[in-house]
Amino acid sequence: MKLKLLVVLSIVLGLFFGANSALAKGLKGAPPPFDGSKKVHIALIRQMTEGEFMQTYRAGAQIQANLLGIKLTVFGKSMDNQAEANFIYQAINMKVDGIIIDHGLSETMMKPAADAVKAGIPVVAFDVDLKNPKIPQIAQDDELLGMLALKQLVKDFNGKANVGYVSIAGILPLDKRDRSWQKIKKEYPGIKEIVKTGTLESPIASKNADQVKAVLLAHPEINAFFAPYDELGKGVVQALREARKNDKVKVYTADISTQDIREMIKSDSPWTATAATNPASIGAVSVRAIALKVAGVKVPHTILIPPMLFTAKKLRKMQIKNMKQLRKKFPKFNSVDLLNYPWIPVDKKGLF
Amino acid sequence: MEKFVAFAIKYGFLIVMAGSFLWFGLLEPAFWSWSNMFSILLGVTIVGILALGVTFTLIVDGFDLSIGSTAAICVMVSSYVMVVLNLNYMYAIVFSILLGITIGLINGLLIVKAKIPDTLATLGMMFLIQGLQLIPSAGMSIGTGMMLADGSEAEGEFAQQFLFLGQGRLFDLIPVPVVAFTILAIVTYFVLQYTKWGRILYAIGGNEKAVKLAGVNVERYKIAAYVISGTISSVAGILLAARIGRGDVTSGGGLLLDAIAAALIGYAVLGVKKPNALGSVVGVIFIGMLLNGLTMLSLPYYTQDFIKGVVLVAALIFTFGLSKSEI
Repeated sequence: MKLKLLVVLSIVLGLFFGANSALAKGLKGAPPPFDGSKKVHIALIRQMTEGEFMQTYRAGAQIQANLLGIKLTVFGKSMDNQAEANFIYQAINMKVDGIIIDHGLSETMMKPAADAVKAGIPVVAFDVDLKNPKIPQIAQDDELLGMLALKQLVKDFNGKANVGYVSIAGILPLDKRDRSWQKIKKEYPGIKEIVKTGTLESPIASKNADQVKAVLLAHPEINAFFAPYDELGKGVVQALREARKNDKVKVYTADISTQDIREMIKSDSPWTATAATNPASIGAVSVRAIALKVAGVKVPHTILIPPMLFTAKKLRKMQIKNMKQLRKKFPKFNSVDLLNYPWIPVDKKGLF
Repeated sequence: MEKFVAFAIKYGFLIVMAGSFLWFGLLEPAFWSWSNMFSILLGVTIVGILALGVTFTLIVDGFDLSIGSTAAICVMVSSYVMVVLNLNYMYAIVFSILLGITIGLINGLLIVKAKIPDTLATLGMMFLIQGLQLIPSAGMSIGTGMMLADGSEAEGEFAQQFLFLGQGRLFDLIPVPVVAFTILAIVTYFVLQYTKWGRILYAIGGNEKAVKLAGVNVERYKIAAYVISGTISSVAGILLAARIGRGDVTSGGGLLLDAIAAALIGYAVLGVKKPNALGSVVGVIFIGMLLNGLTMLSLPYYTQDFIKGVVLVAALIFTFGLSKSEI
């Protein structure tokens, strides 16, 4: 009796799991396989999963995937590079139709990505240089991101500042933003880098807060921080508040999110300016890119997402309290006009 | 009834494992492909090697908590030797293994001579090593071209032969780390099951006083267990460095817990109710297979730790709860 129940249960569960792969809805005017001939299965393989940027990216990717009728399987184990490489092979075994690689170390991911391409699976990459002419690279215009925030720093301090630099070497977007920092230091000798610190250990904001507090004690002359990633920026702000220096030091970052906005608009906040792109739109572009590759449409090798600068002053003046209002008041931030084709539905109302 | 319970304890785990293997394959035929099998093995290799190491210390009724940090520091040391010191990759391997032996030795001495309880001694060492690994590179990951303290760039790089250890495949199919894991598993199994030393280790774990009275130098065996654990962890570290291709400071995060879980699940395999090499290997492969299969069936990635926990708790209940107590 019990055995029969077990068999029935297994079959039911099996059908449940297998069911969602059966149906494929076609898109009007779309090239195959998006015309309904097949349910396209894309793997999104991630290195970093923590924090608002990453979560928003994923949400944007998921929405665009839903609009295109794509089944999106997300693989990710926070900061586990070896696992990320293994996930590629698992995706190859699952015979997915396309792979999006979201962040990662070049050295670790180059070979697995090349193996995926060799196995006939198209790949696109976000924020990781896979050194492969067959794999389009999506990135925010990182050098511009760094430059926008830094130019504001230079303006605010009239070319003379003692800066604490919070960043981590080896992460591609941070390395690109670092180039802007090196350029600014050269161009404005009055802008000095007093100390460099930073960690990606989880929880990122708190661990950085601890480091920055120590830095503040050792270097009281610091009057500005450049932290080109909002999780790092959150740590800096936390440290400044705990050390009661939030009114004496200004913080310049990259990325923006509702949590960031809520801190920036506080009247006593040290968070002065941030340059950002909409992570949800990057997620959407990533999915559009891989969809185009799967459909056999040519995709440019480098896809740059343009950033915008947001100062705390501007946010306060325009009374922006969260990302929803930000998107309303800055429509240009919303959707990135890249890789749009008439047959690709885009999200008109929500995140991007 | 008694016979059935005995049968369930002995073969229950393997039956569940075989059953899941069939079930996953029926629902998703790609699961049964050779490349997927090796993919599963590759995914669990590093944890599996660490589980083999920790099995030795569990057998002597100890507990080596420093295995994860030992692997991590060997990642940093091998990267440092190749990238910063620009030495031949063989030096990287040798230094790492020497380091593993040393850490094991220190652990053993702390426990046997300083009489610190195993868990506490290795826990302390775990923190020490975790911190130590960050110092040579000032907390930064080590990669080719990284900026050194004096402003110059590191010129060395990961040798191709070294990377082959982690990323290469034999006959274009079998990943090299899997080969290493298999060899290590066979050797460990043989030593523990069929040699005098293995029997003595188990005896020490069962009743240390009796073994001592029988004239065996228990201290030497215990230290040996920790040295073996440290050495095996350094091998895992070398393979991990070869897989990642960079001295990544974040590597080694969840390794300790995953390895311990596998070793503990091993208690349930064949109902042995004690740490054993076969059990650790089977345990780690079972988890890998489960996660691989469930992912193919669209299980979200963030539920994986939960699944591992469920399996571990179930295995422990099965092992200890079902049997009648024996003294």
